[in-house]
Amino acid sequence: MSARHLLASFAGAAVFAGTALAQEAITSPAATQPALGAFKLNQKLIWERRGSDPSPHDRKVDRLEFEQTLATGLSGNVSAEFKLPIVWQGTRAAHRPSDSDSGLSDPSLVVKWRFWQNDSGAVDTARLSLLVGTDLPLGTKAFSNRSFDPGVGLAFTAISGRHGFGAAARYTFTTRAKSDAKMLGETLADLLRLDGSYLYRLSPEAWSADTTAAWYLVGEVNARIETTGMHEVLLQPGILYEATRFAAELGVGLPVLHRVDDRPRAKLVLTAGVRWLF
Amino acid sequence: MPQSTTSGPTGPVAPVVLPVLSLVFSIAGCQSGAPSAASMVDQGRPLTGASATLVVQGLSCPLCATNIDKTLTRVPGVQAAAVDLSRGEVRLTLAPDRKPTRAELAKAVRDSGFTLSEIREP
Repeated sequence: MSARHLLASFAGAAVFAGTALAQEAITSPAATQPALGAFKLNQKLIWERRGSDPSPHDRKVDRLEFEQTLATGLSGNVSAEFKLPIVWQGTRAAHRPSDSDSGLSDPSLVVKWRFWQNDSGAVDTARLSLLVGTDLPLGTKAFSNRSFDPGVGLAFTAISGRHGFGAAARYTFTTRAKSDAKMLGETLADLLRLDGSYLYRLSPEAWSADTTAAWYLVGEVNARIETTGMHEVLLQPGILYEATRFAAELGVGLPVLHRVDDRPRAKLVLTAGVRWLF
Repeated sequence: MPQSTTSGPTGPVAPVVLPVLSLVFSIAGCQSGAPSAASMVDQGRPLTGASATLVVQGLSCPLCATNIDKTLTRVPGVQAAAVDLSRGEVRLTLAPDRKPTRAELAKAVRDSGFTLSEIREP
């Protein structure tokens, strides 16, 4: 997958997309979904640098992921979501020549059921969703574990005036390890992902009938914990802009806590994304 | 500056406490019950005017509200829908020859993921 293909994919989505769906954090899943018959496309470009490898390999990894997630509403409170990650990854090691791979990482299919909802004002709401899904063994050899990895989780979203809150917990049952594990979740250990988010509406101060755009300050905490005890916690400040036809997001992930003994550790994660609803 | 009608927080603790309390009360079964037989008959009656206003809760943000805009304009008889987040209102322009029923509008709001609290006719 070349850079030209990635740009073409972005441009293609912009042509057919109509309007956007937002008020969701950048990385944390939310208890929001497209309406029945509507589609939401979320496209993200994620660059991640890993280093300080405590293993004898002393690897440094640069990973660029283009993640496309298409979601559709199956009913008023059930939606399905298909994620397609395309990855380029370069590795430098102390005693091995540098290498790089690119291709498709394992896609995932998730069904979201919003089983509780309390709308308490014009914009105020609180929602809770159950997430059930699986990774599909369709990725290229370098990025696939050749196995179905089912997962289950909960996502909570609340909007109160200018404040938005999110919390999510997801557990993935890993059924097979990848041949050359470099990231958390790539060994045979199961993976628990805990996410918390806060969004503050910077502008406008109050909604009006003529509101056409809004700015949000985003703060997230993203924890990845393997059942072996290996874990990483990232703090991710970001910004979200909503216009009438698109939403754009930008986040910077900074490691604040980690215990990873056999793989390179996260040093920096940059995320840029757009969301469309059509 | 237009005045917001949203029930925003009143202090630094309120944004955290309100969603948690609403979750607890709702799980405890404090939400409204089934509609009466009279109101169910009323649900099947088509609207009569050239326009109508839906009062909706939980619209979240302008672009989340796009869900309701798109779904309502798919209802036969609805020509246009305009969302006013400051009031939680969706103003509908209705076709002259075909009027939607209250039930059709209520289903569209539900399918969009929001809560309908009232339908006003001029």
